Amino acid sequence: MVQCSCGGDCKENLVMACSGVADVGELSDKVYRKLIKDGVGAGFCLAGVGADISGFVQSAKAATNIVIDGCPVNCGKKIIDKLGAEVKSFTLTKLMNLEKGKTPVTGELVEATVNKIREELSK
Amino acid sequence: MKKIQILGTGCPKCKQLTENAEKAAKEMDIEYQIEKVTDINKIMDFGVMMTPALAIDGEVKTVGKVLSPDEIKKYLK
Repeated sequence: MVQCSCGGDCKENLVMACSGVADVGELSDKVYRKLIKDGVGAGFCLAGVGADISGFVQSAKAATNIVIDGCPVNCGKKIIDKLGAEVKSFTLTKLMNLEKGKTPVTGELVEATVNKIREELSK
Repeated sequence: MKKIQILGTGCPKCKQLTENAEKAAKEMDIEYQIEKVTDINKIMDFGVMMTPALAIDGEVKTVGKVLSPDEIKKYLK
C-alpha cells in the first residue's frame, strides 16, 4: 500500500522476491508473501524495477529494500544494487542451508524461513 | 507543453509540492499543465509506494520528497 510521507521522512521497507522458476525461487515467493502479511514491509514488484519503470525505480531508491533471493545468483539483489539503493539481502540456499533443485517447498520450511529472516532483520 | 503530475492523496506535503512545481514552471516561463493524481490505485499504477511523488511527462522523477522550486526546475529543462 502507498505510504504518505506527511508525518516525516521515514523510510519504508519494501519487500520483494526473485520468484524464480526453481524450487528455492518458489520458496522465495511464498516467504515474501508471508513477510508482507506479517507486516514486515510493503510488497513490491521486483520486475517493475528490473523493467526500469520510473515509479518503481524511484520508490526503491527512496526505501529500504528487503530482497529475498532463492539461489546464489542473487538476481534480485543485483537489480537493486544497480540503483545504489539500500538493500537487506537474503539468499535462501545460504540462509537455510538448502540445495537448489532438491528442496521441497513445505509449509514448515516457509514458516522456518520467515522466522529466520525476521530474526536476522531484528539484529 | 510539459505535463506535471503530483501523485498524492492531498496531504500538506502534496499541496506544497504542487505549489512548488507551479512556481518553478511559472518562473521558467514554460507552457505546462498540472494534474493532481489522488486516486490510490492510479498512484500504484505508476509503481509509486511513497507520496508525494512528482512525474514529468509521465516519468516519475522523485517519490516521498517535497522538492523546492529550484530542484523541480532541473527536471523541467
